Amino acid sequence: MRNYLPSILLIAVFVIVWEVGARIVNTEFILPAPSGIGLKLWDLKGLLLKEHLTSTLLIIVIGLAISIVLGIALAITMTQSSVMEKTFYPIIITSQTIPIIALAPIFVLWFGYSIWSKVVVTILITFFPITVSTYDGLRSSSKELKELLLTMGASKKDIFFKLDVPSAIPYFFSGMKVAVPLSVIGAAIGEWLGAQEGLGYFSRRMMTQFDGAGVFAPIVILSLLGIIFFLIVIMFEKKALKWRK
Amino acid sequence: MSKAVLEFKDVSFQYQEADKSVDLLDSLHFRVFDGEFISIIGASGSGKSTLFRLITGLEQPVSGSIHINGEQRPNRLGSVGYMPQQDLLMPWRTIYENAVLPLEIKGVSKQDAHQQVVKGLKEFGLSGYEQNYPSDLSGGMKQRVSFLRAVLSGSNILLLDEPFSALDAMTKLSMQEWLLAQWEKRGQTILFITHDVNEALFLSDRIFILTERPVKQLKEAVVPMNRPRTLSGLHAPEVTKMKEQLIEQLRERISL
Repeated sequence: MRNYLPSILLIAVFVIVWEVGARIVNTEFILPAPSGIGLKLWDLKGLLLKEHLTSTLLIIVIGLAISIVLGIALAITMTQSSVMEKTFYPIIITSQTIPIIALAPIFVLWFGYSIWSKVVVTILITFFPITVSTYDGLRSSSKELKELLLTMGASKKDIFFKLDVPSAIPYFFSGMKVAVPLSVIGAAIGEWLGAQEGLGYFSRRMMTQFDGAGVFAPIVILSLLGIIFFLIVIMFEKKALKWRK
Repeated sequence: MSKAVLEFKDVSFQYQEADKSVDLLDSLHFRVFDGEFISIIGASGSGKSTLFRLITGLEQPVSGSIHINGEQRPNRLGSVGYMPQQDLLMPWRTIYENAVLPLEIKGVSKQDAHQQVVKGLKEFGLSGYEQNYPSDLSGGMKQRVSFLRAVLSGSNILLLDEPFSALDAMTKLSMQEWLLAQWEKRGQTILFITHDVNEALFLSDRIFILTERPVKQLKEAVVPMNRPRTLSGLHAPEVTKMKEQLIEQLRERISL
């Protein structure tokens, strides 16, 4: 905790300046004070946490789960077959130049206001870091260790499970640390464009009502959500990589 | 010392370098007998490591045959124990898990493997470190784990590729003495690559010298020292004379 003291202090200073500034400007609908946001959060806690958070959380969890399964499967396929690698790798890289956020309305067109239009945005945005990092990880295994395993009479399967997979795990977690905050963004954007519930949807609705504090309140929850997910990834990472000091 | 456990018959080997093939071994012939300790010395690039790659089966000869324990098999992988230059322990595996690796690959039952590893760790002075990771261990200890791993391959032939080159002088010395003790106890055949002439003299029965290129035959020196060896034995006149000759031969190779 001591390590974070400077950051905590800086944030505290920032919040105080904001509070004072907001009181001087005194236009709550444009620049709400942190205290105002806090009060709003408290007022709306039931609605935000029960209804909107559940909906957003579901999108994030389903989207991430599909991304992980798809990303790992594609990464493994590409390392096992050079035809697959040559086919998919360039496509995956160039797919990142497509503005996924701009595509989101298409998904609303296709999937309507159902959860899937949001899940698709989340998958598209998180799929890339997971796939590429896992793929790089699987290919990062040491050639010397591979030869050593071969001299022990190892099969292809042995090399994959005893060498390639453990070598890929640190890379996979790096990918997850990028993907998890992105998943929150993906869900929120998806909700802006076509939803009837969710924290992103609620924030946008409050904007149309000129309720500054109402815009910020769900964003605070979204950030906390991102932080919690990130901490969960770090917890798993520490557990999986306890050999790393 | 009657039975040949390893035999090269007219083995030739080439490697590809920028569109042309370079001859490295040309009809090479040699034999290693059961229970011998052989050192292989030679300048870098003289083909020492290639010899090992051929024996382990990572490379195949262009012509000729390699016989291990009297058998000639195209797939030799898994038939000799190999200890690489760096310890090459898997950092994500504990010491126990690293040592058990060859047994896992051979499909030995968990219970049986456990017995062998625990016994080995005890004999190698590594008891109590089973659950540690390689990063917790000193260089000498890591080399002992690496050697144990090679021993647990179950083969009667062990190939050691400059295993002590990264250790400091004092650790190196005690590891050499330790290795000799282990070898005397176990009676395996050891092939040992080194570029340290003293090390080769101290450890081996015979020394193979790689000088020419392509290698047509191995120059061979029988070390004139009785066992058990002591460090002071290295100062005997016939040993110092041999040492000078060996260094002379290696120097010729380098000046080429």
